[in-house]
Parts: sequence; structure tokens; C-alpha cells
Amino acid sequence: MNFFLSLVPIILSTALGCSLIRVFDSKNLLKKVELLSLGFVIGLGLVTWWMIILFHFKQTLELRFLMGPIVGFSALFFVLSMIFNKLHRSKESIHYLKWSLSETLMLLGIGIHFLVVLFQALTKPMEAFDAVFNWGLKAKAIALSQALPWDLFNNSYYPHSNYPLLVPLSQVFSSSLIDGYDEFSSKWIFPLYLLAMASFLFASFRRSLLDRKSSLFFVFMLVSIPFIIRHSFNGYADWIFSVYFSMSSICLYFWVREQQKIFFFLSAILIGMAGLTKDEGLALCILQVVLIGFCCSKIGYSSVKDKLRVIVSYFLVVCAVLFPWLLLKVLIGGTTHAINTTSFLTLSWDRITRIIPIAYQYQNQVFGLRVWNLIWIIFLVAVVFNFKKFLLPELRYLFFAILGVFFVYTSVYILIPEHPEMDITWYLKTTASRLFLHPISVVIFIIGLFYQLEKTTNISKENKDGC
Amino acid sequence: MLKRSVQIIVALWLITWGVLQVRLWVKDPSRVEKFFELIVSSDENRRSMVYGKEWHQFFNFCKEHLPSNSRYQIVGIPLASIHRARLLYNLYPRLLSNDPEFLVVYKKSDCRKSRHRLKASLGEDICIVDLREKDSAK
Repeated sequence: MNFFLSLVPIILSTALGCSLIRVFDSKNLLKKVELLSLGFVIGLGLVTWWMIILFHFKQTLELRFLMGPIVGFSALFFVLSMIFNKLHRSKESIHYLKWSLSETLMLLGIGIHFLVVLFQALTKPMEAFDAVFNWGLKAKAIALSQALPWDLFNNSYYPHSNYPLLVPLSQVFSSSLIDGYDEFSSKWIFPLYLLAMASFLFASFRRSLLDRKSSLFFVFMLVSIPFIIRHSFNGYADWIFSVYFSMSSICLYFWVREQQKIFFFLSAILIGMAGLTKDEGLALCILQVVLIGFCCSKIGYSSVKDKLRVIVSYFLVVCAVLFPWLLLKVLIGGTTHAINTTSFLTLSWDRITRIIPIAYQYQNQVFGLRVWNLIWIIFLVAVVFNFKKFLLPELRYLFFAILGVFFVYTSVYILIPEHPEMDITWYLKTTASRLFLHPISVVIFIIGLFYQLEKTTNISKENKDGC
Repeated sequence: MLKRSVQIIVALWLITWGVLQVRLWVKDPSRVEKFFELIVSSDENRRSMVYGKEWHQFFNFCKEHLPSNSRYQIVGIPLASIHRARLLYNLYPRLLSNDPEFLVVYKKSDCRKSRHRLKASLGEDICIVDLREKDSAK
């Protein structure tokens, strides 16, 4: 029974996310699959944002404070979207083309992987280290106290008190109709993020005019990567963070390509929500703002004033998403091993030589077939042999986003202060694989786009030869 | 050329994927059986299967004998151990503390050595000691 009860809040938050997106999507640009997948991830982000606001006003997470505004705002956004979209209402035509055998097999493969992940999530208790020590523990503590668990935050035996709260709060929200806290059904959100990313990726390939068979194969690649499977049910925040970052980067790409404002705002909201999920999100927010600055000079915003307007708008949306959390983070206090000004001032040759173990660990990941299958090797080979093509306008923004992620993380590894118990090798061993997870969907998307680009070039070459 | 490259990549991907699936099965042939057993089991059985019977029994023992909202300290489980993290998770809202009311002893001789009252024990070397009360007999 709890399994079904925990789905109800998720459906409501998805409705909230969808209706909000529909308000901004006045031209009906988004397909239903895109709307649903974005609605799910943005809906849960909005609910988290609202719960943080409730914490600021010292309100408990009672059902009336949670569900009341969610149902109310969903209805309001729905009415607004009906009014705004009246002029552009168009029925999405669904083509029931015959599925070939290979397409059916791939769809079956995707379905089986998803079911395995779903059952693993719903039948296993919280058991992985960070899940029981950080994310899941916080979810349990917040759900039981219906408020911020200060007893936990003020206790030095329980670290990471000031880590972002999107994952625990989403779990708490999904358990809000249940009496007490059910660690099994609160894990619904994890496989659903996999489903959302897979659907969004498929729709993005189709938007980029890739044929259905190839799109399905790339989605199959995504759901069959062992590390993604493991992270879609183990209760860690990394996959969810990866979904927000990847969706934001893909929306940014579509903004550059189609120059529709909806993608611009979606990208900003999503990267802000990545900041609500993990601390790394703050660095990636800055990276996206830099990329926006780079993009807008290439798509017609030539004057400095125009560029500034675009960058400031993006920045303001990100700040609106992040501000309540950053304020709460200050109130919670606590320490992290993070970087501060001293890290820059004390930068020595010793720390720069960390690049050797970093490179070693990176190559371990690239060639780690057991973890990643061939995805990083395919990407590396494609980049090495076609470097110039990755700098073409069709690919470069996504390529820079991936490079940016590695630049940011490598800098963090170099700058992070020495810790008596945790040296750089320890950091690398425990985090590098998860860092490779963060841009993985963008990597698959760029490989798909590269394939599409090559295919188009080949066809036009053949046509020329024919002429 | 492109078509050939794509065919090779697809084939290699599927082979690696197949090998990884077979490898998982060879490593643990009962994997599929366990998977289905997890689906039909009760929540407590699932915990027992995932944590291991002994640990699950120990967690339940602690939950049963430590009052809710009490403070405790642990002896016998290494600091970075996954079992310690799972214990902390399972025992919440009971909190690990520098100023404990109870001592949770796991496979250590401290049960017999302690001058405080033994609140409960599970075998010879697993116990909970009530640090608020001294044992008058010792």
C-alpha cells in the first residue's frame, strides 16, 4: 500500500512542474515526453524549494503546508497555461509507425533494465554508505521530526550537515502521505529519475532529427551502463545531480540552436536545482553562466548591453532557485573540506603534481569497461580523431560543457587542502567514478549528435558525387 | 566507412554488455534467485538479506533495548565500517554521542569488564551497558 501512497505526491509534484512549464511554453514547443520528464524533475525541485522556504518560516512539514500550495499552484499554473497557450494550441500528432525487430528488442532491453532498477530500489533497504550516512539518514530524520533535525546537524558524529537537501527532501515528500517513514517506498524517486532522463534523451535526439532506431540505441546505451544502473537505486545523490546538469546543458544547446526562450529558462532552473542537489552544483552554475556568455555572442547578441541582459537574466533565475538554500546553509553552519581563499594562497608545486594521480585515476575510469562499458572510449576516440568537428557550432557548446566539468573537478582536486586522514588518492578513489557520472548523459547526447552530423555530411557528399 | 564503424561499435557494446551480464551471473549464480526472493519477502526479511542475518539481528537487538531518543556510544565496530553507518541509520532517533547514556558493545570483552549495569546481552560478547547505573556487585 505504501508503494502506491508514495507515488501520489510524486504525481502531484509532476503536475505542478508540468503546469509551470506550460505557462512559459506559450508556443507549445515541448513534446509530451519532454513535458513529462521535465515536469517530474522540475516539480520535485520546486517542492524542495518550497520546503526550504517553510524551514525559513519555522513551519513544520505538515500535509496542509505541503499539499495545499502544491495543488493550488498547479491549478493556477494550469489555468494560466490554458489562457496563454490558447493561440498556439496544436494537437501533437502521434505516428504509429511499425516498429522494426531491432527497435522492439532495444525497447525491450530498456524496459527490462528499468524494471530491474525499479525492483532493486523498492525491495532493498537503504544500505550503501552515503545513503545511510548522509542522504537517507537526513531523509529519515526530517520525516520523523517534520522539521530540520538540529539534533543531527549539531552532532559532530554525523557530518555533512550543510550538504544540499534536494534528495532527502524529495524522499520526505514522497513519504508525506505515509504514517512515519518508509525507507523502501521513499526510494521511488531514484528509478523515476532514470526514466525521466531516458525519456528526455530520446525526445532530445528526436528533436535533433536523429532517426528512431538510433535514438533508441543511444537510450539503451544510457540505461545499460552498469554504473548508472547501480546509482539509480542505491540512494546516492550523484545520478539525480547528473540528471539536472545534463538536462540543463541539453536545454542550453537547444536554446542556442532554436533560440526559444523556454529552453533558456529551463536550463537556468535546472542548473539551479543541480545546486540544490550537491555542492558541486554551485561550481557548475558558474560554468553554465560562463557558457551562456560564450553562447550569446555567437547567436546574435552582439552588443555588450544585450549580452549582459542575457547573462544577468540567467544568473537571476539561478539565484532565485538557489537563494533560499544558500541562506539556510549559512544558518545550519558546519564545516566542509571545501576550497577557500587559503587553498589558492597556499597552492604549491606539491599540489600541482597531484595531476599525475588524477590523470591515472581518470584513465582508470575511461578504460573501466566493468563500470562504464565502452562509452568513454567511444567519446575519446571520436574526439581525438575528429577534434575540429567537435568545435563546430553544432557540437561545441556541449563539448565545452563536458570539458568545463573536467576542468572544474580537476581544479578542485588540485586545490583541495591536505587532510591528515584523507589524502588525494583517497579522494580520487572515492569520488572520481561519481564525477564521471555527472556529465555522462551529455556525453551520450554529443556522441549521438556527432553521428547525426557525420551521417548528414556523408549523404550530402554522396549527393554531390551523384550530381 | 561510417556505417561500418557504427556496426562495429554496436557489436562491441552488445558483446561487452553481454559479457558483463554473464560475469555477474557466474560470480553469484544465486543472484537471480535472490532478486526474486527479495521481491516476495517481507521488509524485515529484505533487511536481513541485505545487511546479513547476524548484523540484522544485532541492529534489531539495539533498537529493542536502547530507549528512543537515547544517547549511545559504540565499541567494536571500526569507524569507517559500512556496518557502523548502517547501525547509525537504523538506530536514529537514538544518537551517537560524546556524552552517552548507553554503551553498545559488539564482539568485545568489555561486556564482562564494565563496572556499569549490563542492560541486555546477545551472546557473550555483544551487549548494551547502561552507563547511568553502576553495577553494585562489581
